[in-house]
Amino acid sequence: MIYFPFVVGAVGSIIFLVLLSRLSSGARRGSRRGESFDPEWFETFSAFRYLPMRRLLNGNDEAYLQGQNLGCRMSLRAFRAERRQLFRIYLEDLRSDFYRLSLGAKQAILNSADDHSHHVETLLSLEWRFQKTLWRAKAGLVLHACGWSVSDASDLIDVLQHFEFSLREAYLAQNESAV
Amino acid sequence: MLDRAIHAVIALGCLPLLWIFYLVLVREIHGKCLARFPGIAKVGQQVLVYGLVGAIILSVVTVQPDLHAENHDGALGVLYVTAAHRVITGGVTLFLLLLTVILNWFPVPTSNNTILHTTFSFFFFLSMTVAHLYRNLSGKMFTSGVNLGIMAVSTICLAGWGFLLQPKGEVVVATESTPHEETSWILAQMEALNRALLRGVK
Repeated sequence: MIYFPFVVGAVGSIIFLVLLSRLSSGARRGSRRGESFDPEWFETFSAFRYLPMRRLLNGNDEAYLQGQNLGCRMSLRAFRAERRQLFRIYLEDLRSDFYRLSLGAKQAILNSADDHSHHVETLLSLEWRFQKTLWRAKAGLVLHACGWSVSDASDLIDVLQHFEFSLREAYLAQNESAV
Repeated sequence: MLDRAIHAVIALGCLPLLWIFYLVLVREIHGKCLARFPGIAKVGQQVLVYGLVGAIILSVVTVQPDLHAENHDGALGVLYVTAAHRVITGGVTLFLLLLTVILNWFPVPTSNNTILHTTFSFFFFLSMTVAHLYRNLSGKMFTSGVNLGIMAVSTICLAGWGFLLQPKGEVVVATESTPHEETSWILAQMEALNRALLRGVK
């Protein structure tokens, strides 16, 4: 009990220093790879690029491979590992793109002369929904490594597409009015 | 030489004034971080009010060990006042932690001085909280050591405030951002997104 205050102090200090180092390095969410939101990037961006994720872990290709009798047991394991590796790469890019879109929305809110506080709540709930599906996808990867076939990344792609399409609609409308 | 009883009354009587100054300091840090932006005016205000009240409530909830420590052998009045002091400093510490979390989430441009000021304030209040908690739990015999510790940390923080906060540190280094006119269209669609999300929740 006597050491409890020092434990509180040490834990508090560590949490604060971690947050501070992230703040100082500018490594906030959405710009982890030094990428900020810009309209040029948004013009070329499409959530459709993540559609292949839908079939990476769902087992159809494995079943096909087994049906063709091309690989031994070992190569099937390697095949599954490779699919997981690909899925992880896609997942990291998808996460990065989502937070890049989110960063754009946050900057727009921050730069606005009018109060848009209710949009902060919207973003918060959207990010929370995305984060939950991201955790589910990561848990799915672990299950896949244990030999289970798991659901695909449809939920994640849906959230990203929903966000992208919403922004795209306004972006196109603005461009049309500018023309 | 000042009578011990009079000294105690003055020292304890000044504490509420100190608490008010602590809250003013928190208000100032909040103003430097969130209150500058009209786009998040309401949410910034909510963070200050709900965040601070919530942090102090959380701190109050954890006050039981201070009040029921077995080793405590001091006067009851002193115990209550030091426990209250611990609650206030603990609440302020938690609030500063919350503010740092928000700054990590939202790309608010902050000056170097603001970051330094927040850092010194955090460690100042954290050390006060830890020291008072330790004193309340372990009893009067550790008062001198605890006071010495508080004085040492306070001196370090004062030196930091005095020497490290500089005029050039006031310059707000803008994070890499897109001009307002290029992102204003996003706001137009956030409303629709908001409605869609609400529908999704229902």
